[in-house]
Amino acid sequence: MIRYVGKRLLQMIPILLVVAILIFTLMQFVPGDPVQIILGEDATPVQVEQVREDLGLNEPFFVQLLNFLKDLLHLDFGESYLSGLPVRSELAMRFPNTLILAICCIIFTVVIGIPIGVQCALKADKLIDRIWLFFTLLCSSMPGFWLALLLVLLFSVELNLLPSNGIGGPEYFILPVLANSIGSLASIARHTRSSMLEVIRADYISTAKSKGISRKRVIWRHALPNALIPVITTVSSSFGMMLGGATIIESVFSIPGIGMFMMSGINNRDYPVVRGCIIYIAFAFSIMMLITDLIYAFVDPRIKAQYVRSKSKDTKSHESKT
Amino acid sequence: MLNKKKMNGSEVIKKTEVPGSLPYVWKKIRKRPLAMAGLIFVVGLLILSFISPWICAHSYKAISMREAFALPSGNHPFGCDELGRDILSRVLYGAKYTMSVGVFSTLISCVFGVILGAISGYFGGKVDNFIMRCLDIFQAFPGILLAIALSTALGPGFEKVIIAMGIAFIPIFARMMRAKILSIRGAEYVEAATAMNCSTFRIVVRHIIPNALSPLIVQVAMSIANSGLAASSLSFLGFGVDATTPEWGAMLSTGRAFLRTYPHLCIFPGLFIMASVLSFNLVGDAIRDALDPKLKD
Repeated sequence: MIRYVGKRLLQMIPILLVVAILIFTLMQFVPGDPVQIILGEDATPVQVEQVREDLGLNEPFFVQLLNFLKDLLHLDFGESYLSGLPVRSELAMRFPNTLILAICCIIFTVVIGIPIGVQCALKADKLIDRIWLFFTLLCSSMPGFWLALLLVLLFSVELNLLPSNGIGGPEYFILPVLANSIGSLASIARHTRSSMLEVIRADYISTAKSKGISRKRVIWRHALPNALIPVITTVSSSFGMMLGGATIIESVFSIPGIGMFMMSGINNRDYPVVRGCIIYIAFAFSIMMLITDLIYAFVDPRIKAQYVRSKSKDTKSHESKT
Repeated sequence: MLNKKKMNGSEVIKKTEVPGSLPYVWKKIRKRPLAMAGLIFVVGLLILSFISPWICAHSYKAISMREAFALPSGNHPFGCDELGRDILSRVLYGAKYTMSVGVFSTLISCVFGVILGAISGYFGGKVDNFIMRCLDIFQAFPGILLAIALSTALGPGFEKVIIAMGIAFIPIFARMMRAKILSIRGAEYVEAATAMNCSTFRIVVRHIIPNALSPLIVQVAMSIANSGLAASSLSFLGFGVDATTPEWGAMLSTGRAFLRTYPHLCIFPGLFIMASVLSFNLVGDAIRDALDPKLKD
């Protein structure tokens, strides 16, 4: 197992490296000059030249790229053009907000989404199932930012119950969590339903039923754990996405998280910020994918058996070589 | 899938009974009122969008400051925006933007994704490995972020949004196609074609791709909905079309500033985004159920 994790972590390095090079190159093509934005419209050419020199923007492309990669090896994303602070510490400062938002969202999604899915599967093709199906489809068709605006309109403007932006106590997170999780909630509910439907038809469920086990026990102990295995992917990939910062929701609610940081980086042509965010997001996303695979192996003995088998094969081939 | 010879054979099979054929899918869709409603909504909206300059009482770009922020009324059913432009005309005129982003970007990702996936799945080995590692890089972050990064680099503009979105969603198609082809490659009819000395190209194009079509069609239908949604998010964030274009996401983006005082600027474009994405989803669901009941989710 440790060997597998190590292998996967090693595989991540070239991917992240290429992502870094790619994003660096991409940023070179972005129209707009960061120096102009830093200095404002009425900067003299001498000032512009000076700042360009200071930021190292006058170097040839490959020199810049090499410098960037050299810093990256030390996990240094450079300093923000605007604030002058190291991007790494700015990321660390904003990470907790994004993390809290992501955790709240994923808990909300799972706690609400999975029971809906199970309920639908048990009442498959009945009226209640159809209503939920339509409702979840409606939810996944709704743009998150529009829902966010509607929620603000209802709860902050009309009812004056909840704050509409910024961060603070738990009440500040209610609306963002609602707006951010509605899409993944719908997809998890639908996924759970289909997976559950498949499991219910399996032989071992009939066996369990015929043994006279109560319906409740069959559903919760025999069917659901098996049905949830494929749902793990949906849950963890939405969590990975949320860890990358809910770009849109964060900017609607002005939550100072990773997503909003990246947006401001893009708008200000603050290249080190954009690069830092993208590399962080790619890293978080890949780690989440790795964790998913590990959870899979952990909960599903069939997949675990594959690892063990390949491991024993590895040692065997190793032995034969020696 | 049955071929024509079989259908003309002794046992006469009605076209609508051949699973997977177009008439069969159509028959199934017609039986679903919600899917039909979605189809009618999308088609109707597209037609209205193209003829809107002639049927709307107000031009989508006519500015009249006197009527700025006018609330919905008989003259302006959806009210007016911050420059006094009629929102109904803008929403109708803008329909073709949102929808064509969905359709054309899906077309791009579909074509490139299928080609890459087919090459990868059929040839396997080093080629497969190379293509898959490239896709890994694209999939190292969420699709919408990739689209944001690409459209920042490409600059603003309607066609550029389409290209950015098209590229961002290639991996989904490529992976799906590859998986399907891997499962088909070992099938007996492919073996038969190889035995008959068919060229590789012919095997892929004539035998493998047609048999991988049904999941592809389903993916296309779903992807149009998703791309439409993602495109409106892009223009909401200010990366898509320029703000003067009556694209729904862009309208929401400008309307957002006046949310507290004049919510009608935001409500109507958002409603239309939701309704059209929902329509595409409903039609997609119906097609999926018709083509492959096992895929139901």
